[in-house]
Formats: sequence, C-alpha cells, structure tokens
Amino acid sequence: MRSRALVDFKATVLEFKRSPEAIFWTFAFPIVLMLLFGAIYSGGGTGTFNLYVQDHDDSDESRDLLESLRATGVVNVRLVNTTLDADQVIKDNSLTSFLTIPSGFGANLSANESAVLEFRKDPSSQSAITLYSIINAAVQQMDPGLKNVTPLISVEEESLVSERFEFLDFFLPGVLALTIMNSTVNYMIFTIVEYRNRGIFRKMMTTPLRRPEWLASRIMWQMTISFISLVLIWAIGVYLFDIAVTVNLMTLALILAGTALFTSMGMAAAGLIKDEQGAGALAGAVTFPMMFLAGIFFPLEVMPEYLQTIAKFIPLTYLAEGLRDSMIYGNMAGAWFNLAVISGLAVVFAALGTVLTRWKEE
Amino acid sequence: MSEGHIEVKGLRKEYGELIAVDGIDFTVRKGQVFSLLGPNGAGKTTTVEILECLRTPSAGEVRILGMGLEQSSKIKRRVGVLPQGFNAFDRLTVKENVDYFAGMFDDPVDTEELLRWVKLEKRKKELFKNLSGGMKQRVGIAMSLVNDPEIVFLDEPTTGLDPGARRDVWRMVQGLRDQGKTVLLTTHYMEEAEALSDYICIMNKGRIICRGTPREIINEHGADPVAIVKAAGDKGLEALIGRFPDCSLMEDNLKVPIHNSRRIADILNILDDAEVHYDEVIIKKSTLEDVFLKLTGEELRGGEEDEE
Repeated sequence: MRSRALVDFKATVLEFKRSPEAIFWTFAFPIVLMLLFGAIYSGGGTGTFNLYVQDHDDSDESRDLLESLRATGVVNVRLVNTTLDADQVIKDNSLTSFLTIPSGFGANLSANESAVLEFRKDPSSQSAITLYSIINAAVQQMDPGLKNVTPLISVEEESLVSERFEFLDFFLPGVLALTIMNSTVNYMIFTIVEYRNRGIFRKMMTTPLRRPEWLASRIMWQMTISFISLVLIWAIGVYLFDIAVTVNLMTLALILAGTALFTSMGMAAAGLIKDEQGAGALAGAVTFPMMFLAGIFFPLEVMPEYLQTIAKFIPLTYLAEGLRDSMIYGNMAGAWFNLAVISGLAVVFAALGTVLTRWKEE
Repeated sequence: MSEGHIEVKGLRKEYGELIAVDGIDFTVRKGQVFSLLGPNGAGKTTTVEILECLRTPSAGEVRILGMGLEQSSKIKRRVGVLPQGFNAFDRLTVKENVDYFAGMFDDPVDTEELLRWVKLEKRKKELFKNLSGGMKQRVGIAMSLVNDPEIVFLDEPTTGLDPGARRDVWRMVQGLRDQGKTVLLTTHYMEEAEALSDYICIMNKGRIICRGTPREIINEHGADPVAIVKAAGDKGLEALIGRFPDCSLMEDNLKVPIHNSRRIADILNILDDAEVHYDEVIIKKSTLEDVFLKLTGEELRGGEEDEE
C-alpha cells in the first residue's frame, strides 16, 4: 500500500515541478497576503496616518503624548489651531478622526487624577480604528498611572484596542491556516475534476491502486505544500515584519492534521460536481465562507454573537485557533483541544471523501 | 470445464430507464482476438467496462479467467486495459507515465523493453502532452501491458487516428495475438474488426445481432460482390442499364451485382462494344459494412464526430 502511494506522490511532485503556473499560484497567495497585511499593519514607513490634534492643554504631558505618537513612526501629528471650531475643521477637511486634548490634562495627570482624551472617529474608517488603538497604546506607554484611567476614550468600545502591535502576530497563524485550506481544497477539487474528465481515474481504476492509497498520496503531497507555505510565511513574518511567533511540535501536528482534513474535504466536495465549470464555483463555495467566518481577518470576539456561533461550525476556525494557541499564546491546552477537533473531522471527511469520489463518468 | 478466458451470460446493464446492455452472451477463448463491433451507443463500452471491473452489471453472469467480478482486485492484476478516450499525465514523460502504471503492480515487466515494443524508445523523454494522437495511443497500449496481462482490453483504440497511426495500432494488436494474449477489442470500424479479429460479435442497441468469424458473417449475411463502373458516360451507362436491370446508379457510379463471375466479362465486353471511355471498373466484395447495413438498415459510419 505504501509503495503505490509513493509512486503516485513522486508523479505528483514531478508534475508540479513542471507547471510554473501551479507553482506561482500556490505560493503567490500566502506571499501576497503576508506582504499586504504586513504593509498595512506594521506601518514600516509606507502606511502612515495623519492625526489631527487640537491641544488645548499645551503642557509637558500633552507634548510628551504627541511625541510618543510621532515616535511610533506611523503617525503624522497635524496640530490644529485651538481657536478653530473642531467640528468645522472635521467637516471642512472630511476627516475621519480627530483627537482633542482638553485643558487640564497635564495638571490632572500630575495630580494623579483621571485625565480624559476625546477621540472622534468615523466608525467605518479602518485608519481611524488603527489610530485609535495607536493612541491608546501610546497613552499606556506614557505613564503607568494612566492605566487606571477609565474610560480613557469614551466614544469607543473596540476590542482592537491595544492589539495593534500584536495584530500582525495575530494575523500570521491565520494566513497559514487560510493558505493550507485554500491551496488544499482548490488543488483537490481541480485535480479530481480534471482526472475524472480526462479519464485518468478510469485508467487508475483498472490497476490495483485503491482510493485510500490515492488519498494517502494526496495528503502527503498537500503536507509538502503546507510546510513550504509555513516556511515562506514564517520567513516573511520574521525578516520583513519582525514578528515573534513560535513554531513547535504542536504547530507541526496541527498543520499535518489540518492538511489531512482539508484534503479529505476537497475530495468529498469534488464528489458533488460533474464538470470543470462547476469546479471553480464549488471551490469558491467551500473556501469563501470559511475564509470570512473563521476569524482569520478579525478576532472572533469582535464579531456579532450569531457569527461567533456559526464560526464554531467551521473547520477552519479550529485550525486558526489552534495555530494561534501554539504559535502566539503558548496555550497548549487550547491547542490540544483544537488538534483533537481537527483530527476527528479529518477522519470523518476522509471516510466521506473515499466513498463520494467517483472515479469515472457515468 | 470451459476453456473460455471470458464468459458472459445474460449480461444486462440498466441506467434507470435506459437499457445499455440487454442480455448478451458470449465466450472469448484463450489467444483469440475478439471484437465487439457496432455503432456508438450499441453498448460495447459498457460491456467491456463491466468486464474490466469498472461497472457493476444489473444482471447476468461474468467470469474472467475463471473468476467472478467480486474478485476484482485479483482480476485487475491479470488483465490490461486501454480505456476509451485514453489519457495520461500531461506533464510526465512517456517513460514516467509507463513507469507510474508499472509501479501500481507488484511484479511489472521491464518498461524499457515495452517502450521498444511500441516503438517509442526514442520518444521516451518527451512529455505526454506533446505527443501526437497515435503516439499517445501507443503509450496507452504500453501502459496496458505493464503487468504482462493474460487478457488485454482495447476500447476503441483507433478512434480519431489517421490511417498511418491506425495501421501501427493494428500491427500491435497482431503482435499481441502472436504473443498468445487474449485481446478483446471494441470498434466501430468494420475494416478494423475484419482485419484483426478471429471472432466478431456485432452489437446494436444493447444486443448482439450477429456473430462468427469475419468470413462466416460475410458468407452468411453478406450480399453478392458488386462491380462498380466509374464515369462510363451516358452512352456506357445506357448500354449497361439496358443489359443489367438489377443494377443501381449513384451519381455517375454504376453498381452491378455479380451473381457469377461471367458477369464481369460481360460488363467489360459491353463497355468495349459501346466504345466508351470509362475511369475504372472495381470488383468489391461484400464487407461487414454491408452486413451491418443489411441487418439494421442503418449506416455504421459517422461515429467519429460523436466521440468526445
């Protein structure tokens, strides 16, 4: 059994090596995602935000605050003359965010009393959300005493707060999970439909090769792809964006189990369609909902309750959570739980996939 | 004890309302080239795919090398298959493709030798997708032989090939017979079945409508030979039609049935006496084509366009 799976594996490697398009699309996806999100969230000189500030206090403390905002390298502080009407300035310049430092801010801080900053933002603006979290983080760095100040910025309830500097870290395991799911499901669906329509399965069926052997070869192959993706994503994260993540045995185990799960899912899904036109639609139908509902781009906690419930039924959620547990939080108990869920689902889908895959056209 | 390599009794295959194979019986003997001949949709491919253990029959009994279909994994080790509309891995070379299928069996033959046999040893490093149709088909034949099978199933092996490539395939089928292998061939080309087969079953609409050696079938069902006179001009045609009322005219070709060989001399004499110029006179024996036409009232041809 092992040897037939290996023969198939070897052939798959050769075919892949000779297909520049396949190589490009398989690895461009995680690279582009990493670069994109890295650029957006790390600043890195490219993504800077203009912050309009009215400093009514003009104290040492307020100047310190503005200085630490500038020091992030992401914020251009634009001081607005205090004699102007803030609302008018916002309106005239179509600003999406505006920070007001009230007079007495410095004095209150010196007296160890609560100080309040006023931050107005357009809730639909991503840069305003980012600025908000930057300000919050800057305030916390400025003076430990301020941590007790609540609510610091009363217009907002935003769980992204203070996660700005961790967001990329949060994102990396998500990109990895997404890449594993995306490349595996797509690859399986398209390969199966192609093999079926070109009669390659029919030829395979006339040999002693059995479906579980073929699935085993596919899983081996997809694992190879997953590990190359891991190395790429990790290298980009560490060298370009200075992300601190851990890759341990648990991470590898999760990648193995996740790959097996999505390979089997792809195999099961491909059993549902007949032709090549259906393949693209089906791949989209499987991957898109998972992509958006599994907490890859946003932490699940900021989603509405009902979406959080839906996310619990999405296999990708468990892979993303598990990878985050193992790579960022060091939460082994959580990682074990997610690994168990993924492995269980993998067994179910492998059985389903083996049964549902039709190797021939009727 | 039967010496049949393949035995089929009362075989039926239904897809809902559609009856693809409607209760057929036949026996293929060891070392025979056995053809299922018929138009598309006759049930040939369904039949061989059942024998190849790719489909389950709705009813009937099948024994292959003495085994029932439930022993499919044992059967698969001892038969070779060239499926209809065969394809292999596009981005693997000829040799890699053949090696892949050799790797599926425990005790494969030497693939280098196999490639020499199908005359592809010089092409073995070429990618499958860059090959011509005839070469692809030879790769398929090589693949079907990797396990040194006792029975080889060739499902429409020459459909879509040009005449030269078709001849190559024919030579290989003859080679397989010389090696003592049993070959089950399906085709909708009459001349192919006639040239290659030891035994033929003509299928139409899921049934076997006629069977025997090519000679037996033609002798039993074939019509008399005909003489075809081409472009004899109005004067020549007039003279011939006057003499042979049972002839038929198609464009300017006149077909005259030859009940006895004296008629041939008669035709030539008439043309001579009329002093007309004519292109040629051909004597054509009855073929399986004619038999099929006679038995079903339908033309066999026109299959190629429907394929794929």
